[in-house]
Amino acid sequence: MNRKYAFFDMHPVVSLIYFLCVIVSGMFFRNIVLELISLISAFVYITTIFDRGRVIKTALFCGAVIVLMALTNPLFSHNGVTPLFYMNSMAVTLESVYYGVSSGIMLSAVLVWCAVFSDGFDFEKISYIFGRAFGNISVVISVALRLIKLIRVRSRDLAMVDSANGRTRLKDMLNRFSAIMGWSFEQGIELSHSMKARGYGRGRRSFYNRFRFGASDAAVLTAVVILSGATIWMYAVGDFGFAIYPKVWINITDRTYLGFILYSVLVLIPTAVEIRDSILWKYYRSGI
Amino acid sequence: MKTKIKIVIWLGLITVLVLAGAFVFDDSSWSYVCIAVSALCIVPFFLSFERKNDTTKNVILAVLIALNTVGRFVFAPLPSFKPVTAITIICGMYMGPVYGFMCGSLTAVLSNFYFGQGPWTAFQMLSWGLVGFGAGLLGRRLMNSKAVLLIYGMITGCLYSLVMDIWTTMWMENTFNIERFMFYVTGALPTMVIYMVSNCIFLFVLIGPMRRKMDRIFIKYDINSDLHRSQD
Amino acid sequence: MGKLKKSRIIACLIAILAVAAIVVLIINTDFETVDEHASNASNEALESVTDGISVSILINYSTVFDNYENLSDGVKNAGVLRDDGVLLDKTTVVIEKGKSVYDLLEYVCRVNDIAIEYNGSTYVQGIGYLYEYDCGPISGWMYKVNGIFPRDACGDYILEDGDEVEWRYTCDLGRDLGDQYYNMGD
Repeated sequence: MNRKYAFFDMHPVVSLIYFLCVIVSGMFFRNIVLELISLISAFVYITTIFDRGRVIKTALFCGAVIVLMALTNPLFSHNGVTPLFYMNSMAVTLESVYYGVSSGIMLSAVLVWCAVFSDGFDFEKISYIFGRAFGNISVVISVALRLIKLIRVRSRDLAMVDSANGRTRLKDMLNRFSAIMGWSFEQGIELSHSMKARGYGRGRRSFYNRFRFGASDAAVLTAVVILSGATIWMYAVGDFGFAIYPKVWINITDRTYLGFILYSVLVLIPTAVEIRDSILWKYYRSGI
Repeated sequence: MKTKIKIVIWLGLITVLVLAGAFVFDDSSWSYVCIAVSALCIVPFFLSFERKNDTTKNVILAVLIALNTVGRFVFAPLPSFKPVTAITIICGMYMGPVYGFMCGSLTAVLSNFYFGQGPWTAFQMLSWGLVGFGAGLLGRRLMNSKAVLLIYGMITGCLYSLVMDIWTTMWMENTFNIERFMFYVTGALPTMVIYMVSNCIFLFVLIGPMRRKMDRIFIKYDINSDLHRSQD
Repeated sequence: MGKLKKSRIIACLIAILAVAAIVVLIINTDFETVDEHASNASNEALESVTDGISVSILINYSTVFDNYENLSDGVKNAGVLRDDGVLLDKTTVVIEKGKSVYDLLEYVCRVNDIAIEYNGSTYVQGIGYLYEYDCGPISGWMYKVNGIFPRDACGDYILEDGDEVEWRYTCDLGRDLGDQYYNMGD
């Protein structure tokens, strides 16, 4: 079994900035090649961390999104020099289908990146970053998370008892909910008393540093910043010229090729980290 | 009262930001401006919450958020049938606008941890938060009249659906296209209706037991609820 | 359990409604292939209108060349722009009484095979592949009747005999076409 989500073992700031760059650039870069690069490398990444079933489901979902966009965009947009047929005197054009496909690819890529991010960036990392500014909120969320687990377990127990006694009607569900509510409030009050007794709420908060910012974190962060900065600047300057309406046009210069390579490196960083971690893990294990 | 005024000022500032952004940026940046602005909108509420040092109330809020999230899980198979709005309204009623906002938005964050985060999270946080906030502002009136409560439930159900439709429209095609908006609104009409109806049902059903329990807790442990305090 | 069944019933109902809606929409839409469209257009051009009114119309986008740097990449490189900026020379047309500026534009574009995209009958987004915002954030199509800019939506302005309609593209909210509406003061 290999360890997954090695990319998220780095300092949370690094992964947060990375995903911000990738997701925002995915939304802004309306160039078909860049969009494809983003989508394909997102998929390459998830094959290293999701199991096969989930990868297939994601692929099907993305396919559905792309098809849906390709079919519905021509209903709204009639720009384009190649009409396929006419609906109510307005042209359904090939270019609008292309635009739908392009939007679908962009949307799928962003969704996949978001899914990966939400999977790996759990609450612990979020509270690490925002804990200092939003201490109150972190506490509330931590308590809530613990309570959610407790409530689910307890309501399942109550449900079993009730169904064993034949109490399964809607009214019984309400009674159960009432009981759970009362019980969880009491739990909460006891918890708050114990927190107060331990000195919570008086004086400043202390702060536990779980993540150290090391050399590899700095290296990855620099790479991310440089690559994103370079591609964003190139995009602003116009090296990635691309248009679908009214006629498909793409501007490819030598610098564009460089830009494609830079962007590919940027979006493949997590995959590289996962693979490196996998190799190292196997190497270390073989020595045992 | 002061906090409420401050919050209204913040909202005004942000509206100005939105309008400015709409004119300065060209049409293709609407949806991004909106996402950024909605994320920014949430910040003043959060900062305002940070100043609340009442541990007991914070923990009660956590309990309500937990109940809210579990409620969302329980009704997960039914697409728009969720008790989240109802419980958020009750929380806002009892604990005031800021706590109401926190209840709504943190429920969005937490349940999305299980259901999946996405660009929509910011909007969900904002809409559910505002539901709780509004409930807090209307506190007394909602407490006294079941009818007002149900109307508020229906309005928020409708508004929530519309806001999410606006977001979907902006997201799908970087500008605000009226046709597309109507398309999504009509497509989401059944969802909206179910949403409004489910809100009312949950409010109607839950208000009794929740009121009893919360009144009991607040009185038993002598917690300063916004409602048991004279309005300033 | 009761909940799952309920959700299945609701899902089925919604699916049936959606299919019904789509079928209704398809029946009510008028489909033509490219050739049919072209032949319908030329047939329509040959039809004559009895007891109609005579109006003229022209379509022009020469302001684009004064702001060529702002023009979007797609339009620049698609090769659809004409050097003189004239999409339609001043043409006299006979149409039925009671038709609006929108009806006139739609008819003329259909007959002359000019691509057009509009939002209902209130707003024209693009003519001849030139769309709003293609030449800056305040660019778009505006229309004049007898030398003035009506404030109505093009679908609301009813034409009278002898009216001269101009559709012009602005890069500056109308100011470059002489429209003073958006200038403060005076």
